Amino acid sequence: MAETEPPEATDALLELSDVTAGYGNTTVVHDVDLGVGEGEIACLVGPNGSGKSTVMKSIYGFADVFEGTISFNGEEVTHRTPQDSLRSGVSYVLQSSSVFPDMSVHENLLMGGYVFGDDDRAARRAEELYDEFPRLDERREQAAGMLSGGERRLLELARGLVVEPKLMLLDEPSIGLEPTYIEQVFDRIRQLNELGTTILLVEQNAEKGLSIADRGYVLASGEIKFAGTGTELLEDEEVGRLYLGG
Amino acid sequence: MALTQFVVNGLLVGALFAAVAVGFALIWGVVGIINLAHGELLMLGGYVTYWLVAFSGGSGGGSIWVALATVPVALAALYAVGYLLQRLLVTHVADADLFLTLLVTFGVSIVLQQLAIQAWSATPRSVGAGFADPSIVIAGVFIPKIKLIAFFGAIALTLLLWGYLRTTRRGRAIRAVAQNPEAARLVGIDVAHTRAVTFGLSAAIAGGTGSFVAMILSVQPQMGLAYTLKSFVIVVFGGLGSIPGALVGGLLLGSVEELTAGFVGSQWTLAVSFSLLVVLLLVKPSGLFGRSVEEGEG
Ligand SMILES: Nc1ncnc2c1ncn2[C@@H]1O[C@H](COP(=O)(O)OP(=O)(O)OP(=O)(O)O)[C@@H](O)[C@H]1O
Ligand SMILES: [Mg+2]
Repeated sequence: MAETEPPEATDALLELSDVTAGYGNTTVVHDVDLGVGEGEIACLVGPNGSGKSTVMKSIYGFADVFEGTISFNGEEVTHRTPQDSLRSGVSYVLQSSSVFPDMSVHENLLMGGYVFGDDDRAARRAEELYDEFPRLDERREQAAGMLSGGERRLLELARGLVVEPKLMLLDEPSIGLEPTYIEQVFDRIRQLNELGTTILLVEQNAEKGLSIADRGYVLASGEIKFAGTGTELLEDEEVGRLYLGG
Repeated sequence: MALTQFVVNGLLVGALFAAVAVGFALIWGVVGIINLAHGELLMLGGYVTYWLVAFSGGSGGGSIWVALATVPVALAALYAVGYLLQRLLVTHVADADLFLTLLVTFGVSIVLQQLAIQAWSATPRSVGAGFADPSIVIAGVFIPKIKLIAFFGAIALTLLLWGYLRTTRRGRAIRAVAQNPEAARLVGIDVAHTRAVTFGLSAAIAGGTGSFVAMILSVQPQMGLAYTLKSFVIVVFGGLGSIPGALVGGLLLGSVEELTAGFVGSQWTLAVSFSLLVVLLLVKPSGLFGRSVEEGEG
């Protein structure tokens, strides 16, 4: 019944095939096939606890991959660590708040370039990002814990950009934000994508997420149930009834 | 005049208390371990200095320079001990409940004490390094030069640690692990290694302080508990993770102890420290649990 349509394998920047993953000896997701083409926005939707974050984590090196392979940019990257991911151009913005609350905004940005092993390089990148995020520029010396929820999200996004990622994994970037901020965050995502960053997005507001996505996946109970273009999924009756609450 | 003298004595040893407490707070704040063996690490540092001075032929009147030269050795040796303790032992219980970590570090403290008694006997030993002209007298107050050196040595160790945490990339990684371990992993920090480095630094500052204690007082296998206790009192007072808080707390505790010893009797100092701890826990429990952990903030 799953109308899983395999992605055009040849130009996929990221590709998961038959990935079974979880934590320790708990399996959370089964046989996941997923591909994101270079320059695309792909969106993963599904109910709470279906394993969306686990898919992201297995790509980044935060979860254990038990079976299957993950390739990125033509290389197999199945069991890599977060360090490897960052160095090869993958960054991840966690669903839960991940700023360092007692560090300044600037120090938080420097942490984004920790893998450079070179503070000057991280600082140069931070300066570039201040131009793109003037709000953070105004608050550079402020403790990150004192920022508003929306500003914190921007900081997390900016910190993920320090390594100039080819692929960005965004885990529910709009969660808990006020509507005005949600728009801002989505504008950023589109902007980033237009500048050439490939994006894999998890979004609890499925309609919103799929509407900006080139490609969508519906995950339920740890399995991919539907795949297609964003519009296809939005228009699919079954998907709508089961997962979009409409 | 006696009052001034006691307070000066208190400030001089208080800097040592502060330095030990800063190490204790560091590992508590970053790894979440209340290290009951912290005082034993200080004891080991003291013995490093004692034996190095003894082997260099200077026991009982050795050169102050030889004694000072042993400080870096104690720092390095205890750094290694701390790093290995974390990697081989503490890491296995760090995420378990608090009770288990207390039990394990208590066990380590007993083992270290017993080993030290077996190896070196329970006799107190003193380095006895000194100057020909031992004291400076200012307005009738005696300031032993050796204690002044220990005072500045302990302050220097504390400031070095503070600067390291504030300004270096590794120091920032340590603070990151303290504040949000998952985010630390996210940005590519090796959390296990960083925790071990932190334990190493904590042990090193205890060991370095132990060197100074060996110079101005004496070393003895069972000396550690008193220092663990003092660290606890100071951290409760100064707030977890505040180095300036620990400095003030250390100087205060030193003064209180010397005043107690001077006016009431030295057998009462420990009782007073304990009472202070109890009172602090009653009136300022927030000093213990109220604040998120971070090093070096005012
Ligand atoms: N570190 C972990 N160890 C063990 N199990 C975990 C861990 N993280 C998540 N799980 C389990 O995996 C399952 C899927 O979790 P996951 O976070 O991937 O879901 P999700 O789709 O992202 O949910 P949400 O919409 O709530 O974010 C859940 O049952 C969860 O309890
Ligand atoms: Mg999730």
